[in-house]
Amino acid sequence: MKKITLFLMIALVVFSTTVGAITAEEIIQRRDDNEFIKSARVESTMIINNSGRELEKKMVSLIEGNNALAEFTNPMDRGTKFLKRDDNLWMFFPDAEDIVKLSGHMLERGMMGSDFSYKDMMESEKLTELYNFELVGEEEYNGRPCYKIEATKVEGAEVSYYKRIAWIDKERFIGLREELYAESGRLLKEIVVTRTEEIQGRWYPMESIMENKLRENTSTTFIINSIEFNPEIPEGTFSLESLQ
Amino acid sequence: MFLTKLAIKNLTRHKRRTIITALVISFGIFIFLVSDSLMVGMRDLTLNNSINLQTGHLQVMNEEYWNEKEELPMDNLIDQNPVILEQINNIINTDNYTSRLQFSASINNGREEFPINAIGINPERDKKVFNLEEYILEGDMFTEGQNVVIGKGLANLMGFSVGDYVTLLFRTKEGTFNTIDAQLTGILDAPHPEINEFHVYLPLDLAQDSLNIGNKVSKYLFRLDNRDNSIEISNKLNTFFNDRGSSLQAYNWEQLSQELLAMIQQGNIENLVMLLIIIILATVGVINTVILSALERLEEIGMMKALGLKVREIVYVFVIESAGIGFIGSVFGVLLGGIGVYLMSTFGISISTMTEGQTTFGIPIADKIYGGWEINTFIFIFFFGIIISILASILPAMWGAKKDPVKAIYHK
Amino acid sequence: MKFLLTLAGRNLFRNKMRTVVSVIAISIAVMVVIFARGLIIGMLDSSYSLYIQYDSGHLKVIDETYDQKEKLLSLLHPVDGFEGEGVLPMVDKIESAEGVNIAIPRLKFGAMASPGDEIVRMLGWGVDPDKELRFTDIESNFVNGRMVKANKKEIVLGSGLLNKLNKTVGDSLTIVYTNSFDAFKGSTFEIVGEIDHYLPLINNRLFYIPLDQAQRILIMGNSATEILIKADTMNEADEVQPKIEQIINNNDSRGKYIVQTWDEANPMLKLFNVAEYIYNVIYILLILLASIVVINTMVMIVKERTQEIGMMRALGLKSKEILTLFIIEGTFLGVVGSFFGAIFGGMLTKYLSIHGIDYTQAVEGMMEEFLMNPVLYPVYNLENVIFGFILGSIVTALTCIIPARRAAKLEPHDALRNI
Repeated sequence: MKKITLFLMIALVVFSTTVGAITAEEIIQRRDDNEFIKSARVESTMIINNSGRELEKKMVSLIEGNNALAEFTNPMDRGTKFLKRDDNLWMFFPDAEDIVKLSGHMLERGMMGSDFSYKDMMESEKLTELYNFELVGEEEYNGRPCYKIEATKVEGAEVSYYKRIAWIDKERFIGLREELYAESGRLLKEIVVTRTEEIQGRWYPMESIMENKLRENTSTTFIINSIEFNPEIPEGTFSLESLQ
Repeated sequence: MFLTKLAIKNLTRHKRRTIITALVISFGIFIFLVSDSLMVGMRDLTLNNSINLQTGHLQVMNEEYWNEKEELPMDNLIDQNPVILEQINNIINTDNYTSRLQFSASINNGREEFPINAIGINPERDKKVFNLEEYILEGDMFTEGQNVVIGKGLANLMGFSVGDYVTLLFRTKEGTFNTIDAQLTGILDAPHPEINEFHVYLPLDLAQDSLNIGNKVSKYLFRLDNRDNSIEISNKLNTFFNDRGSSLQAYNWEQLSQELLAMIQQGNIENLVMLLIIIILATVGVINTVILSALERLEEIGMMKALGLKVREIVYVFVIESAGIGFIGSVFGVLLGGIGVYLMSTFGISISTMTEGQTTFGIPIADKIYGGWEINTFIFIFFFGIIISILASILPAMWGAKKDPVKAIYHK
Repeated sequence: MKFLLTLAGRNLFRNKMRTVVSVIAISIAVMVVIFARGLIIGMLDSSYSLYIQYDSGHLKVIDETYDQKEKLLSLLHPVDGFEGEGVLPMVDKIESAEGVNIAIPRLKFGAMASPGDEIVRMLGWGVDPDKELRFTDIESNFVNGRMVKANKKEIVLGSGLLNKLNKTVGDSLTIVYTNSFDAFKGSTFEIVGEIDHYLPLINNRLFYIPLDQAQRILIMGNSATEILIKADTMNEADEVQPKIEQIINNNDSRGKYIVQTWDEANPMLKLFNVAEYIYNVIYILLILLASIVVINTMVMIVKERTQEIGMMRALGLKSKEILTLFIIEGTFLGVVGSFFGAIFGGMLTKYLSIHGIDYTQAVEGMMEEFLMNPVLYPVYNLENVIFGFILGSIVTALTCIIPARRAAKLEPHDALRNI
C-alpha cells in the first residue's frame, strides 16, 4: 500500500484509500495499481480560503513508502519542514532550535490553517482496517461513469469521519469526489477533483477542492504542480537529522 | 465586696453617665457587627456566584481527570455506579447531587463556528446543586430531547435566538467527528462571563449518546448544607476512596476555586483593617468618655481617698464600674447588631439601583446583597467591648487616685 | 459678644485637661474619618488591582470584533495603530492624553510546548518590558532572573509552568504556536526569568516575551491585541474614556476601535460597584461612630457644667448668651480638633499612600499558600481632608447646641442643685 499520496497531498490521500470488499475490492485494486508508486518527488500548492482570506502555500515533498519529507517554499513559511515516519510526525521550524514532535491535540488542528487536520493525514495508512467498504451503486459524475463506494467506520476505530462516500472513475480508476460525514450523518466536508491528468500512462487527480460544509467561504484547493516518479532520494532523507 | 457594691451603686446613681459611656460601646459594637456582616455578605456574593453556578460545594472525579480537567478529556470519566454513588451520598448525608459531562465542541450557525464548553446536565438533578435556571433570560430550561441552552453573550455572537437550531461539532473519544443538531430552548444571562460566553448546556443523555460513552460522566457535584463542611467531608470521602483503592477523589470548593479564593483572602485582610479602624475609633470614644468622667469625678475620688480608700481600691471600684458599663454596652451593642444583621441577612439590601442602566454589558450581579454572620464575631466583640472598657478605665482611675485628695476636691 | 468670647476662652483655658481630651478625641475622630476614606479608596483599588493589571487596565482599547473573541486569543483583529500605522505611536499618543498615567501594548496569543509526549498549553504575552514592569507589580514576583529585554529572544515564565516544562532559568525553550496566517510554527527562546505569583493564571500558564519578538514570530507587523491604560484611580476611568475616544476618532477614520472601562471590559468587575457601595455604607457608619464619639464628648462636658450654667444664669446671663457661649466653646474645640485631625489624618494618609501599609507580618503564617502582595496603599486627596475638617467642626458645634440649650433653659436653682 505504498502510495504517492501518503503525505501532504491531502486530496490524493483520501481518494486513494477508499478500499472495498468483493466488487469494491476489485475497484480499489485497480485504483491502487493506478496510483501506486514506490517513490516520488512532488511540487504542490495549497490555496487556503478561510472566511474570505486567501493564503497560498507551496511545498516540495519527497515520498518513499510510509515516509515523507516536505518543505514549504512559499516566502512566509519557507524553511518549515515536516517529517513523517510511519505513524509519527515531526516538524522543524527555522526559528526553533529543537525539532517538535506533534502529538495528541496538536494533530487535531487544521494543517497550516487548512481544513485538513494532521490527524486526517496520519490515519491514511490503515483505512482498510478502519472502514468497512461497500459498493452502493454506479453513477455518472461530471460526465464520467463512476462507482459509488460507501465506507463506514469499523466499530471502535479511531478515525475522524464516521462515513465516507467516494465516486471512483470506472475507466481511469481515480477518485473524483468524496463526501465525509459525521457520526450523526451530517455532511462535514466534500472533496471534488477539478482536474485530472495522464502521467506516464496513469491518470492522476492534479487539482482538487475541499470544502468545509459547516462553514461559509471555507475551502482548501490542492494543486499538484509537478510530479516526478522514482526520483533519486538520498540515503537518510527521512531521518531526524535531515530535518535540521 | 463593699467596693463592688459601691461600684454598682455608682453605676445606678449616675444613670446618665453610665448610659452615655455604654452608648459609645453599643454603637461601636453595632457598627462593627453591621460592617462585618456587610463585608462577609459581599464575600459570599462572589463565592456563591461561583458555587451556585459552577463548582458546587464538592466534586468527585477521577484523580487523573482532575489533573487534566482543563482539557475536558474523554478519558478517565466516571462509570456511574449507583452503589458507589449511594455510599458517597451516605457519607455526605445528602441527596443534593448531580452529575455532569463536559466536553469541548464548537458551536456552529452554518456560517462560522466558535469553540465552546458543552455541558451535559440532568436538569432535574442539576437544580439540586446549581441555580442556573434562575438566570434564564428568555425561553426555558430543557427537560430532555434535542435541546440546548446557551448564554446571552454566545447567543449574540452567533446570532441565535430562542427556537433556532444550533449545531455542535465535536469529536468522540475515538476521535470521530459527530454533530448534534438541537433547538435552542433558552438563553441564560448568568452573573458569570464564562457561562454567558462559553457554555452550552444540553441534556446529559443526549451528550452521552452522541459521544458513545454509555452512562459515563465527567464528575459528580454536590451541594452541602454548609459550605464550611466541604473540607471535612472531602477528607472523609477521600479516606473512603483510598480504603477501597478507588481512583475517585473528592475536591472541596476551596480547591475548585483557587483563583477566586486568592482574591477573597486579600479581601479578608482588607476587611480586617477596616474592622480594626472601627474598633480603634470606638476605643478612642470609650477611653475619652472614661477620662472625662474621671475628670468629673476627681472630687469623688478625693472624697474616697479622704475616707481612707487605697489607690488600688479606688482603681478597683473604677474597673468594676467600667466592666459594668462595658457589659451593658456590649449587651446592647450585640443585641442591636444582632437585629441589624438579622434584618440584613433575612431581607437583604437592594443593590439593583446601582447596577441599573448598566445591564447592557450583561451582568445582573444580584438584586440584593445579604448580610452574613458568624457567631464567633459576636462572641469576640462582646468580650472585646467589656475588656476595652476595663482597660480604658485603669489609667484615668490611677491618675485620679494618685492625686492629692485636697487638690482633687478643690479641683474645680 | 466680646465678653462671651473672653469667657469662652477663659473656660477652655481653665479646664486644660478637659479641653485637651476633647480636642484629642475630635482630632482622632476626624483623623480616622479621613484616613478611612483614603484606605477605602486604596482598598477598592487594590482588591481589583490584579484585574486592572493583568486583565482590563482602567481602560482598554481593542478592535471591536476582538471583544468576544478575546478568549480565543484571535490574532485577526489586532490594534494596529491609527490608520494601521503601528501600535506604538498610538500608545504614545494615548499616553500623552490628559488624565492618562500610563498606556501599554500587549499582544496575547496561545502557545504550546511539549516536554516529552505531554502538551502544555500556555498563554503568551508580547509586552514592552519596561512599561510592563511599571504597569504591574510583576517585578516583585520575580524569584529568579529578570524581565525579558526588548529585541532579544528571551522569555519569562511562571514557576508552575517551568515545573511542568521541567526547565529552569538559563535553559532554552521551544514554543509552538499558530501565527496570524494560521500557520503552525515554532520558536526557541532563552529563559531569563521566573515568576512566582499566587494567581494560578500567572504562575501556571503565562509567559512574557518582548513585544517585537511576538510581532515577528506571529507576523503581526507593528500590532498588538490590546492597549491597556491606567488613569490615576479606577474611578477616573469614566472621565478619561471620552478623551481617548476623541483621540482615536481624530486620528483613525476606520472606526474599528472601542475603548472599554474596566467594568465594561470585565463584567465581573461590576462586583467592584457592589464593594464600593458596601464600603460607602461602612464609611457612613464610621462617620456616624466618629460623630457619636464627638457628641459623647460634648455631652459629657456640657453635662458636667450644669452647675456652671446655673451660676451663669444666677449672674444674669440670658439663655441665648449661655447658648452662644457654649457654641463658641464647642466651635473652638471642633475647629481646633478638626484642624489637628485633618493635618494628622492628611499626613498619615499621604505618607502611607507613598510608602504603603505592609501587612506582611500580619499575613505571615496565616496564609502562606497565598503569597499575595501584602502592601496596601491608601489614596490621598485634599477634598477628603477638607471634608473631614468641615465635618468635625460642624458636628462638634451642632452637638453643643442641644445639651447647652437644655441646660440654658434650666432655672438657676435647678441647675445649681443638679450636681
